[in-house]
Amino acid sequence: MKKNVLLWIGGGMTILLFAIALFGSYLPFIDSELKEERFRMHDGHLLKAPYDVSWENPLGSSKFGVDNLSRIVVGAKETLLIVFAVSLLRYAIGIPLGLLARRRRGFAHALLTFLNQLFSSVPALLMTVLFAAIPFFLFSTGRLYWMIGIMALVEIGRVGYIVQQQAAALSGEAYMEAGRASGLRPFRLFKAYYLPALLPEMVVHFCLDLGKVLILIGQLGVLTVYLNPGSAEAGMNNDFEFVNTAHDWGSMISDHVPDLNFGHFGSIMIPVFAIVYAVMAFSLLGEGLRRKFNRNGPGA
Amino acid sequence: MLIAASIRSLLIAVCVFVAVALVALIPRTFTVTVDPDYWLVPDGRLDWQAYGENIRSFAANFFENGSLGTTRYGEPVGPVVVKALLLSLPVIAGALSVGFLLGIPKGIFDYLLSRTRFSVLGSGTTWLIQALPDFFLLLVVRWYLIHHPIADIRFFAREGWESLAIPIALAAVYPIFYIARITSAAIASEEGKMYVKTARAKGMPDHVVFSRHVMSNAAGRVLTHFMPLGVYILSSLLLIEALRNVPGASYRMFQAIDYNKVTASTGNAEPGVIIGIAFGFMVLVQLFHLIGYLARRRFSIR
Repeated sequence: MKKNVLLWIGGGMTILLFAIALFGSYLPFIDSELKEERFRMHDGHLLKAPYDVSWENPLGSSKFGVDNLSRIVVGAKETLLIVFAVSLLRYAIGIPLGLLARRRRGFAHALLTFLNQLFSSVPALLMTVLFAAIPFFLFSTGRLYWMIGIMALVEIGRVGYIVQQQAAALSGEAYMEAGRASGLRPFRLFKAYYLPALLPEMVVHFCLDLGKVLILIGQLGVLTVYLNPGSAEAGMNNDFEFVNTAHDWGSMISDHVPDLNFGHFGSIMIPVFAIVYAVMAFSLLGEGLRRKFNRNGPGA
Repeated sequence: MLIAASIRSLLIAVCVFVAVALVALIPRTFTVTVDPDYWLVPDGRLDWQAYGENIRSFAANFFENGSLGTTRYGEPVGPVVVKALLLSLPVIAGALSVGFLLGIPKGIFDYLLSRTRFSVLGSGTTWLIQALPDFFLLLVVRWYLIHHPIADIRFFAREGWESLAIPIALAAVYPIFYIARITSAAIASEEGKMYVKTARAKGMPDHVVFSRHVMSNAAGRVLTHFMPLGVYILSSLLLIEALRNVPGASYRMFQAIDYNKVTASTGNAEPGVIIGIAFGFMVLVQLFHLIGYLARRRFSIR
């Protein structure tokens, strides 16, 4: 049997990613407290952060002396939690909505069409930023949760649409008719008939969706839209500036965007590469799963 | 039946537009209090009075004077929106054309390779490149062109051939490989069909079967993706324009949203610009829809 290379590579990369996120902080060379070290004595010389790549800082350090490798590892857990929260929310709402809309009429279908139209006429990224800028979300203490909700909402239409199409196709199958003829209630029909048939496709789409959410987080990072701006630092005249205290990869990118104006690309590429790695891991896993399910045939 | 469907989709389009306008008109005011520990505590709760006032004055301005208000620089919004859209339009059109012109041949190439053992080079590279995040490529290109200039190409050019070539090239990357994937899949599914086998069995030369039957039917399938691709390009345009500092439609709207880390300057939100550009986007998307539909009709007549 031909080995499913994609699944092995994708699975391996994903497992490594989870391992780093869960256990990385405990590794001896990772500084899990992310201490700032603005000055350092080396060979009798006084060095000032940011430090170059060295054994102490395998990936260099930030402007405040925080080791970049430690920051990436500590931020992995936060980032993955956000990504999973967004995707789970999308599917938790998208799947029922899609199932309810399978007959292409009625309230659920109208709602789905509305959501799809809304977030396809103005690109998703811009809609997300538009919602994020609303003072109610921007200044609330639960801002991270609102942002998760916003990021989830913006693509629910797409998820629901896919589910709707597949559920509509399934509805025509003979065994579905049998189920309906037996007088099963809709909820039971969903649970016992639709969901098992949809599950393989949904799992594949979920994995690919994880990658898409991570890309969205990265894009928001490049635009310096912080997911979780942290505490506010006072300026003069009753204004204030958000000071980033979060460590997710998107915020890391945002922290380093000003460096681009000085031509320093090194610092921003570290979280970018982390995101690229994770996106590749999820995409390969999703593709590998798709090949596996296609090979086993429907009803696996 | 058709009329009912188009009325319904028009109604939904109007609802969508009104929803976007309502979100854009939300007032950006917030209050700040100082708590006993001298921390500043911002409060962004919606001020319904101010919101109602915003909506009322905007609607009055729009219906009486036909204007969308003024930008932060005091200019009327209309011409600014048109200018921004005109800046982006060549890039969008160019990226779509390049996407199809280069994507379809790549897709055919991938399909032909897929039957040999070099299939990884074809569909493998295609899949890899369309799975990469777009900002990755953008940052790499910006870094490379700035640090290792090739032939005096300027990344931030506003006029000259680079001002079109660079954004079109950047925006077209994903479409090329996306269309290549779709084309390859469409050809693969057409090849399995009975009429193709029949034609071949009857002795028709391979290339005639391919161009007359397979490609023209596959083309119809590929062209259904015209609209989603157009929408994707609008989305990726935001980052391209932002990193090149070009106030095209997407970036100008981003500036109008005025998301800001330094909150003192959130007085610059321009709801008129947001609404104007959103309307422009909707018209564009309908145009993509129309083009895709017409192109499909032309191809699947056979």
